[in-house]
Amino acid sequence: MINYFPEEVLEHVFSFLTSHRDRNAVSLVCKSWYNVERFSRGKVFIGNCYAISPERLISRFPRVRSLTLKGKPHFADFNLVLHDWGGYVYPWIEAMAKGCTNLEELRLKRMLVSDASLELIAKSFPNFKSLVLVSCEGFTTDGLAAIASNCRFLRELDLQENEVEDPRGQWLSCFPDSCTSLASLNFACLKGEVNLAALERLVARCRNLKSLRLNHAVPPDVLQKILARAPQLVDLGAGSFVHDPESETYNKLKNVMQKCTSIRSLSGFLDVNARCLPAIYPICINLTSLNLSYAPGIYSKELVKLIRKCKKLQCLWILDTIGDKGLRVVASACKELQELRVFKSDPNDVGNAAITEEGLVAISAGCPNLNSLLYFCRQMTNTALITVAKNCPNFIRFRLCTLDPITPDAVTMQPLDNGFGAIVQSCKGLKRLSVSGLLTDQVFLYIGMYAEQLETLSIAFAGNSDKGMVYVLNGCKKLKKLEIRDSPFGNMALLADTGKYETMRSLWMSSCKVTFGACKSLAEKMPRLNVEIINEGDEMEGGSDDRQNVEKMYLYRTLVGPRKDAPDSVWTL
Amino acid sequence: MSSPEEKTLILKSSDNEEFLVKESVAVQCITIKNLVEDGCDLDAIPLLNVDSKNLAWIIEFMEKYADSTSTDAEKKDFDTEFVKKPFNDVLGLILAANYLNFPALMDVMCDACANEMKLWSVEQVREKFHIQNDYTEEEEKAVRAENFWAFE
Repeated sequence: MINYFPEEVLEHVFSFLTSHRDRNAVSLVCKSWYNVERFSRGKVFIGNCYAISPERLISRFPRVRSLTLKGKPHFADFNLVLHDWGGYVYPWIEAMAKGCTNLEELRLKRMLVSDASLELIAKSFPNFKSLVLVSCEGFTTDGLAAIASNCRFLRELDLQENEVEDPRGQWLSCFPDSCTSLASLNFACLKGEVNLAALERLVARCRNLKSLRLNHAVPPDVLQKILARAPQLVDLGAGSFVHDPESETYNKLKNVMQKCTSIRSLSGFLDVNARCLPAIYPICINLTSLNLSYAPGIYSKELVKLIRKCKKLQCLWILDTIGDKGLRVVASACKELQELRVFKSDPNDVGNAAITEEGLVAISAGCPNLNSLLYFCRQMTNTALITVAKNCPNFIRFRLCTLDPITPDAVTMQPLDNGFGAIVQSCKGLKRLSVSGLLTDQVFLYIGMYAEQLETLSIAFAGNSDKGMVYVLNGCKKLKKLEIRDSPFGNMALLADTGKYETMRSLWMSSCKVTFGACKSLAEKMPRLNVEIINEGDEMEGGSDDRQNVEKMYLYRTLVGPRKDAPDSVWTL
Repeated sequence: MSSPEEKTLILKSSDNEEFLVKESVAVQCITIKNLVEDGCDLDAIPLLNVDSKNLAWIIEFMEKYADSTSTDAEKKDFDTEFVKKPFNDVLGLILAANYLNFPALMDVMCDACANEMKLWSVEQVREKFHIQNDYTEEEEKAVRAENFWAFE
């Protein structure tokens, strides 16, 4: 009977399999399923743009409509990777412009995106709807102007944390009057001025606009006019929120805010006068997501007053200026909290106590649904971590960052091994972990033993010997990304299980103890890995000493061999 | 002359069982809708590829969905119970829904089928669908590598 399953029926079943994992599984059943699947896969995810080539992508999935690509390794966020290391999107666009003009959606992270790439997108894909750029660089607002002018059905333009040159500032006026399809526009990261009149007109004619994140150049009076036109907004990033609270503008803003009952997510406040915050009090009760991590001007007292009203909050991003006291308020008010990120504020801001383990313990006790944490703190203790592990066994992401990377337990002065050990033992679903503080090989023994679902591990200034790294490589069966800096792991650890690296996406090691010779021998043994040495200085020109320590090494599995676009300072062994 | 809403059709399964169904309900199946619109005046509409077991289920589904008093929540609950059938029956209903061109049933059954598949290994999928693996070991290794290294 099953042999009579027509292809279109199979395709219909596959259309309910949306995750790439499920679709990959289906492609392995038999050859005809492989073919039905590949012609019907619309969404493709490529976690490392150098693992495969654009040509192979198109030949396998000729009807791809949505592509996600990731380029530079994560430590690029901490300025550890050269600007021109790679991750160019142009070849991908070029290839798809020839073979795959159905492209509708492009999501890029840590890629180099030139204006030429943006112009090529604008020209080549008639149905292009959605562009999401996260932590990318290489483009200017000229490229954005090309997108705005030409993509007639653009629904989403989302720029997150990109470095963008803004020479002209007129890109916003390039959206033609006929453009009414925008549902999501985020330009909060742009540094330059925008044409405010064009912005107001754009918002007025895009009746489906649900998400709008403004940059600092949009003042409160314009914000007020925009909100009056778009009360249907669900996600708002306020630009500048500095105004005289006695003014007419402020009054109007207060009134219009009250009508914005659909807003669930609030961010921005890039410039803020804390006395203006009461204007948003009316919508706090509806908020599920609040990001004040770019708003340094809000002091703890006002912050706390605001947060007390956000009883339905599920996701909170703030600065450590909130203090332990403020975190206790969060713990008592935000019972549905799932994700918390506390970023470090400007170290020059005197009077900031920063936060300690007490704030975290309070949160863990008050917010049982907490599953995702990023916590920059001044100090931590094992006891606190053990308590947190007991209170919140559901962590999926746990990233701790002590301001001094090798600070010990603040009370006992011992390493924090046991604390993190408790976290991995209790949180059976943990997928992402960043450890911090004084740590010995012991913590890695625990991680290798208990962190069965761990996919990403970040290590800095931790461990005593090669054994630490080996515990992790041997124990964490689902490990995909391992990034290590300033830790005493060397050749023995690197070469202990070379086959392991073919089961992982990538390994980064910088300021460790691996030598040039060991990297060379690894590259020789494992031809399907690209082993890249990144040299900033010119110590290793021509004949290099095998015994010399490598400053930065990045290796990753690939199906297409060494890349041809590496700059001179990056050597593929 | 009775109005079309009250007209009843006779649907005959492949094993010659006859089922009475209101026309307004039965036309959710586009195949049947087309026959009716083309002025088919047979006493009974023969559905050569649908046996009585499947037809009974299909009619149960059609009547639930045609009922204007059932809410979306009730339909969802109904769907949840309806799809709890042995897997071979799920597949049988998919094929029948395809033959009858019944989009609502098709979506519900294909979704149910996909949900089962998500829980299985590749080998289990082959078993449940009675599919022979025609990859050589080399070929399968290559597809696995491409899947996991590039597309995951």
